[in-house]
Formats: sequence, structure tokens, C-alpha cells
Amino acid sequence: MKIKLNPMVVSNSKQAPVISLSGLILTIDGQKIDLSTIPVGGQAESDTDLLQGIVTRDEVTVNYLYSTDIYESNQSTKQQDYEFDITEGTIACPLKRRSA
Amino acid sequence: MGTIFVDNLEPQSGTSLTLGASGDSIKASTGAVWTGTVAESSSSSIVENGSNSNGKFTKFADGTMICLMDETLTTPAVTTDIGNGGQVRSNNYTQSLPANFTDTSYQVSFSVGRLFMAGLSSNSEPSSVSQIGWHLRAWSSATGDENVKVSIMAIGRWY
Repeated sequence: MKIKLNPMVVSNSKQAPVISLSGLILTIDGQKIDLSTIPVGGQAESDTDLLQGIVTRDEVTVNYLYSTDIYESNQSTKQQDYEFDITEGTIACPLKRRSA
Repeated sequence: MGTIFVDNLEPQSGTSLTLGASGDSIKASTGAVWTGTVAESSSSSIVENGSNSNGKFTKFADGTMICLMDETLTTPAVTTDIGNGGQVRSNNYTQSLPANFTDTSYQVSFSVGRLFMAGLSSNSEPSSVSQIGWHLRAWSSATGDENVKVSIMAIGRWY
């Protein structure tokens, strides 16, 4: 499955979401989203703030909210750095943290 | 060094004023460096420049924020009649902001290459705090024969 991250800075201090995939169960910060409810070959409009736009079994866009007190202000501007193609496991955070 | 107050400074032609020794930073009255992390706190810097794949943002300590975004459309079709004397529009597009505004009272302006105009799409006005709905417009049906670059600037408040 292709998982695209939609990076956005928020004002309140916030760690980037932890995202993992197990089969068709997408977990974002502990909240499970069952993508098997989408028919094979079909699509659905996201009804949660966690995701953006059209969702399919093969591709989702996750709203990736973070704050710049934890992560550096200037992050990668390349879209490909925010795209992951995985079948199982947890996505590595692409954001650069501020040094302690 | 203590604090230096400067009033009624009138630079003379050909002169300049340098504050701080080489390698020093000018600091805000909060003690934070001028450019750094801006927050609603007493340790805030004055200006913060940032970026991610959605664009660039500049936050100011007074709550103002400017977001700059670019989009390139590949040979867009602008053919949907929206009335208003024959105006047509393209499909609706969504542009996520690099940083969220605090509310939807922010202002948006578009700069479009070639012969098109751009505006907020009616089905997403007002835009949300995190994304802008927009489309291309023209006075008659047209399809771009090349890529069309659209630059978007939004100004509002981050707190």
C-alpha cells in the first residue's frame, strides 16, 4: 500500500503521528482504520481528520501534523520523501528533529 | 554588554549601522534570537521561516503568518460553464497549507501563468484552516497546451 504523508505545522506542541499498517488495518496514533470496508477496486471519501481526500485499499493520504518546537522548521520539500510503499510495519518519521 | 536604546536615528548617506560583534546575533527583547522558533511564549523569536512539501511559511511573533505554495498543472482543461457571462472553470483542486491557520479568515491570492485566472472554488468557501479549494477560470473554454504554474499566497493568523 502507498501511504502519502501530508505535512502540516500546527501551533500547539505536537509529536508527528505514529503510523503503522497490518494487512488492511491502518493505525494512526493508536486509532485503527479498517480499509477492508472499502470494496476491492473501489474508493471512499475520508470521514476522519486523520486522512485526506479519496481513500482506496491501495493508497491513503495521512494528515501529518507536527510542531516546530520539536521538529526543525525547514523540512524536506520533496514529495517523494513523504511517500511510503509498505505492506506491514511502522513508517519511519521523515521529519528532522531539533537537536536537544 | 547592556541594552542600547536608539531614538531618532538618522543614517547619513554612505554610512551603515552595525549591531553586535561579528558572529553575534541580534536578539529580541525576549532574549531569543531574532530568527528562530516563534511561539506564544516569553522566549519567542520574532520571525520563523519554515518549509515542507506543501510549501513555505513565515510566522511572526505578533500572530501573522504568510504561506507560499506552488502548483503545476499539466495541460489543464478549463471547460465547465459557471455562468457569469460565459465564464468557465477547471476541475476543483485542493492545496494543503504548509502550516495551519488558526481560523478561516485568512486572505488568498493567486498568480497564474499563461492565459488563465484562478480563484477559490465555491464548494469550499471558506477554505479550511489547513487547505485551500481552488480552480482555474477563463472567459471561454480552453485547454492549456503546456504546463500551467500557479503560485498561491495566503496571509492570516497562526494564533
